[in-house]
Amino acid sequence: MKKLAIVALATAALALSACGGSSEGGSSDGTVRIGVVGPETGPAPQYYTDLIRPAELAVAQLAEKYDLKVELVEVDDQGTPDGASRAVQKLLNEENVDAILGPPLSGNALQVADVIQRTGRPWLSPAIAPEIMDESLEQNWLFRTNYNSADLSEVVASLLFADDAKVGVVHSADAYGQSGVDSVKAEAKKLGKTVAAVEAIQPGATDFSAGISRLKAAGVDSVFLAITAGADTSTVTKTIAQQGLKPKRVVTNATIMADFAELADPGQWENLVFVDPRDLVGENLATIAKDYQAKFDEAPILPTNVYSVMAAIDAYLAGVAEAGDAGDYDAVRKAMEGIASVSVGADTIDAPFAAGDHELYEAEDPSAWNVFGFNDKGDLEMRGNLEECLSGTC
Amino acid sequence: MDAIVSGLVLGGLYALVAQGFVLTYVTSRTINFASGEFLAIGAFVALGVGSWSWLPTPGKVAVGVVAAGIIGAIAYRLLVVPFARSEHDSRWLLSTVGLSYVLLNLLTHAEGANPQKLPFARAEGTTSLLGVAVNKQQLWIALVAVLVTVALVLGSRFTSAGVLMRATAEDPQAVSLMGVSPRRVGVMAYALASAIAGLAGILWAAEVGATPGLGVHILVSAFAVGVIGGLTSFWGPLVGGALFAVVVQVGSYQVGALWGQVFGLLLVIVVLVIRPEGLLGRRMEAKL
Repeated sequence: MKKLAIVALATAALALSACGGSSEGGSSDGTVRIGVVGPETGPAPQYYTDLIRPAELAVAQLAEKYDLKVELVEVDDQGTPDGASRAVQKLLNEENVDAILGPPLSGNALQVADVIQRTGRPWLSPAIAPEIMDESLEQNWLFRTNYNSADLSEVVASLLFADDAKVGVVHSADAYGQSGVDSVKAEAKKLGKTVAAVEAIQPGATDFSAGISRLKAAGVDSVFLAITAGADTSTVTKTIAQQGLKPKRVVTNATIMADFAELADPGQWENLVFVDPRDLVGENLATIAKDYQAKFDEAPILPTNVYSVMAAIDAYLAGVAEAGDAGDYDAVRKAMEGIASVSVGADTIDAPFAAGDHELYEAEDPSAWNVFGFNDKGDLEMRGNLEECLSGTC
Repeated sequence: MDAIVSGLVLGGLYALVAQGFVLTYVTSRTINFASGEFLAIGAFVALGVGSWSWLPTPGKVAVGVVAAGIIGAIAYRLLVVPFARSEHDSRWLLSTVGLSYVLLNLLTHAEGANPQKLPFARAEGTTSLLGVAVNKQQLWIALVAVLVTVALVLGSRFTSAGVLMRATAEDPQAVSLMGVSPRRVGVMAYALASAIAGLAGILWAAEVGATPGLGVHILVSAFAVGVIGGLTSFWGPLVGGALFAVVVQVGSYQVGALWGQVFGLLLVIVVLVIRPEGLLGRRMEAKL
């Protein structure tokens, strides 16, 4: 009986430490420990690469600025929700990290959202599923440094439905794709429009002729792509060209930068544009890419994720410096809500967060979103801002 | 009509990969579950010699094919033979699945996860087949699948190596008593099967880029094709490939792109219930 009681007490103690609720912790030597969780293995390891590398780059640049000793603790989530759950439990319970960066894949982020929120650690996320953010929480630990897909849909809806176009959506059969199609449908409803056809593509699909044929049969002439991998986007745009579907426009987001131009032919990006709030062709991102290349001997795969991660690290370390103790989680969270600005290279974003607003980007102003496409050589080019494009001047 | 034509063309890729299953199954009653990674090996080796400007495209393709074949033969000797010692020894199943994971991780660490364009062995654009626009590279792969099938059928009938393969398939003990090692025949079959997988990998990578996971998405469909057509007939993969891919495409066109694969796998279940040995196969003792 006594043994049973000891076991029960030990189990209860373990459960309490796992469920958290404590707002203090951290390492004894003052090192700030950031847990980094992403798909090092699995179907989309590029999202891990451009999570850990920019984190290392940012820490190397910012630790001195904020006079902090920072350690990154990496755990592989294997690209699955189960794996993400195990990885986050490990970071929280075994590694006792002060903050969590990732997972970058929306489905995995959704899986761990409750655990991190209940445990109460600053959570830095570039994942774009709107569902992971609940700003009604009294203590919201999530700070998103990427846009969310609802905001993206809000800004691209005007472009998609322009000229009374019949809109079709192709999405990848994962949480990211589903989130994208749900957001576009919601925006269509707000505009009093409907989405004419929705087709899903399995990651790595060998053929998508059926999907495009169905869009064609539905009379679609404006297409939104919510696809996780640029290689799958290439499969879809190739089939669009092959099937003779000639949409007025194909709109997507910056995930297309991973591999698309490498694999696609010029005919595939003729009417294709994507929208992003960052200046992806400017001097600042070019400098960041140069630093990245110098450190890792490769160009960034997902420059927008690099940008988001660097913003997240800057915001968090600024919060820690302000709070004075990475282990005082609540103080760090409040400090992050009040920081004056976030820097990414030479870019500065003023008043990034506030109590009740943990999103770095907002959808309200179309002129703050840029429209990009590819030129004849496959190089990225900015066509103008969304407002200009909607008025036909880009 | 679109669904049928595109299905027939797409089925060629699956049939080509499934030929490897037939080769290893008839000679050793084993299947290489790491076949998907041999697609990637062929593609990456070909990519590696892509910069050798003195070597013409067929030579680059041949290097990738031979490399995949050699690695396949070694894999058989080291990872299949020791784990397939009797008719009831099925540890080879685990060792080939394990090999699949090892190769996938090795390739990912060596080459990265991102697709790399293979700048040769590609027929660009589309062409019209029975009034339907089809991808030229997919059509090319389908033609290669037919050529490989015909070569295997003729080779198994009219060459000494082919006769040995057929004899081993019929009665490995009798072959052994005649002084021929069934293991040597198995090495030959694994080498040929892996070489065919390498060829499929090169041709497919020319279309979609070389990635470590190149074969992962094809493997399930190829296995389904092998089961439908029968793992003991060289004509089986062609018939299975055509049926499976047409059913997948008709399902995708009629119901939705995600549903096609479901219909295809339902067809596998139907075949397994009605004719477990496959449409063109014949019953054989398996080591499972």
